Amino acid sequence: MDTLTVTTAAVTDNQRWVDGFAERPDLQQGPSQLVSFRQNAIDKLAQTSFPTRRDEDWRYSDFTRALNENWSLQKTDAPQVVRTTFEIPDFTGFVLVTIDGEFQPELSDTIPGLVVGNTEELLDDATHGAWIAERLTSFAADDNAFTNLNAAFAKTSLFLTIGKNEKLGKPVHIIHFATRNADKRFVNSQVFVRLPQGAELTVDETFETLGEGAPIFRNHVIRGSVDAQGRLEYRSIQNEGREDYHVSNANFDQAGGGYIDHTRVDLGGAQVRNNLDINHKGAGLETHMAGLFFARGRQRIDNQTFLDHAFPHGESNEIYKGIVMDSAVTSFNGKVMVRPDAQKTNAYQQNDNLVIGTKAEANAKPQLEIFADDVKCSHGATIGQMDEAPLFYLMARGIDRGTALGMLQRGFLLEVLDRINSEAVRAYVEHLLMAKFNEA
Amino acid sequence: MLSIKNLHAQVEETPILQGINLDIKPGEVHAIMGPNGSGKSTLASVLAGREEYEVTEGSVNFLGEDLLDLDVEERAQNGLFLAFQYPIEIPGVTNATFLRSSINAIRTANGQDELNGAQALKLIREKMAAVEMDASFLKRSLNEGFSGGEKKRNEMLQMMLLEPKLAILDETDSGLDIDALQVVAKAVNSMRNTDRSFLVVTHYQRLLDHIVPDFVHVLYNGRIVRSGDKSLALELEKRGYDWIKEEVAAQTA
Repeated sequence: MDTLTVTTAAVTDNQRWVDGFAERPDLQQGPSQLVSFRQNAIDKLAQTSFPTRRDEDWRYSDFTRALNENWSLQKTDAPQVVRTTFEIPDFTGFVLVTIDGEFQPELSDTIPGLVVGNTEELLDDATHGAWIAERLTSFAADDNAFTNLNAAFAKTSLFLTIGKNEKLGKPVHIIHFATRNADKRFVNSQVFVRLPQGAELTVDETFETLGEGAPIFRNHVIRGSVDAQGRLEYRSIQNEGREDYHVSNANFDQAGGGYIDHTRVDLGGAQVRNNLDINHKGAGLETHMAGLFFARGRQRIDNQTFLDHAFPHGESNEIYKGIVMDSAVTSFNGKVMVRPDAQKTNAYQQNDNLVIGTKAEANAKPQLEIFADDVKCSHGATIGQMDEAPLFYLMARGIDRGTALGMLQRGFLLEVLDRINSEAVRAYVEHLLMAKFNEA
Repeated sequence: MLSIKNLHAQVEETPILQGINLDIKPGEVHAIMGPNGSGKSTLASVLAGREEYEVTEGSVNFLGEDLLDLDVEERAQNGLFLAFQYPIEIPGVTNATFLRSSINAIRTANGQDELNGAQALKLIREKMAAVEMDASFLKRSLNEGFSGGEKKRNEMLQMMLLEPKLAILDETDSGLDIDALQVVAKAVNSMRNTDRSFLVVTHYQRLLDHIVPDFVHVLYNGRIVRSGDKSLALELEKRGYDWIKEEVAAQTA
């Protein structure tokens, strides 16, 4: 198998990714429109540097060292998937599967009422082709090397939509698998979600790995749109291996009267960076953004969100809570823009961090830019240490230190857990959290 | 039950306890009184295992074991209970979860089966009625937003649920109105028996009208300077602490 060999190339030298692209003839196949999107994306990547610490938006997320490792961009055979192992216990919805970014219809449920397909087939679709093409085109215009790279390598990505004013009534769980082998693999994946007027959909996505082997670098992209009166709940739950890397770039367009509730959970990964952008495209809408993260060991978890209030009567509510311990580093940068036309905006943002020990580091950067004068905007950020007093109180009632710490940590994160509107998903997240609290 | 010998303890190099000797036998109720700053609460904290206090000398034996050698949770598991002067508010941990975790931690440590959710709830509700607490307190975060009286009732609830062998009440009466005081007294009195002992730390005699002690000790400058029966508490109520201070000053002069 061919692997990409990287010597001491500077990070601005993206030739190795371009070479890796050339070694994938399958990317030259498929609809000609798609092939040209990929080519545009790789051409753009050739001229775009990966961000470094010198870029203000990436101060706490320098992937230079990780990117300089020897990543294979080759396809590989996936082992047989026993899907049930990866399903959320007691989840009463539908399951869709991707492997190494490619949608797997034969491993996925058939979902009556939902249009599920891959981007290659749907590019010619009368209803959705233009919507998909618009987004694929945008990847080559993006000044973000991660999205350029993602677009160049994406194949048969998952696209979901539902009819106007329709609701599925059950949530959809997308399991994104990445296949491990002897090589360190770089995996690009994409999800597209389109909600027309009045449609309602709930999506939960989790990230898993198949087989044994070297670390995975997952470069994930989500593109969504919610039209008037549409309601989207979208939760991303990331618990990948401690040697794996994860970069996620989510971008939602939200029309007037639309509703978006996004929750992001990060427990795994050696280094994680999430970008979440929500763009308001009309008046009178409601956006909720929540995040929960817990970093220990030498993990680095970085969340950057951008909420663009551009129209009047918008409501937004953002809460990110995280725990950091050992030698881990977390950061949160929440940008909220309130443009001159966005009068009567009601924007709330809170970021709370609990730091345990003396070596852990939490960074909080609320960033509100308000250009309208008749608005209600509030934000708060806290970074605090674990108090001994509550620990002592619990231990004085016979509860051992480890359990007491777990209770207090869970208590700290409860506000975000409480926002997960699905019993099964919430229990699943709590289960993952407890397992992580109990790690030595 | 509890045997304290020549106990010295300090906080950040400042000596607080300077040679406490105290023996508590099963079934006895001892009251520790004394002026502010005499070391009453320090004694309670040292016994419960609070880390800020460093024991520099002396020993404490609790039911045949070296108490000072045990971790905080082990002391509780062995039957020592401290009713806090200032119960801690813990957001995000419900009272119900806390109570059940605590009951089961102590049961497990003593080789008993854990109570399941329904069993624990039944027991908790029963004891809540005894301390006149509304069931709505179960769903609330532990002590969060509770009034002073509600917090103390919650301490008494925990004591009744955990059935300790020795309960230390650290100024449980401070800031309580007469109704709450009576709830506290009722809880303690209902639990008095020949096997269970109490150490009641208080500044005022008032509580001891309701919880009648077998012994009263006066703590001053980190030492027990006088011991007697319940009449000593009445004398202190009448005459204040100045005469004790004067006596000690005369002795050491």
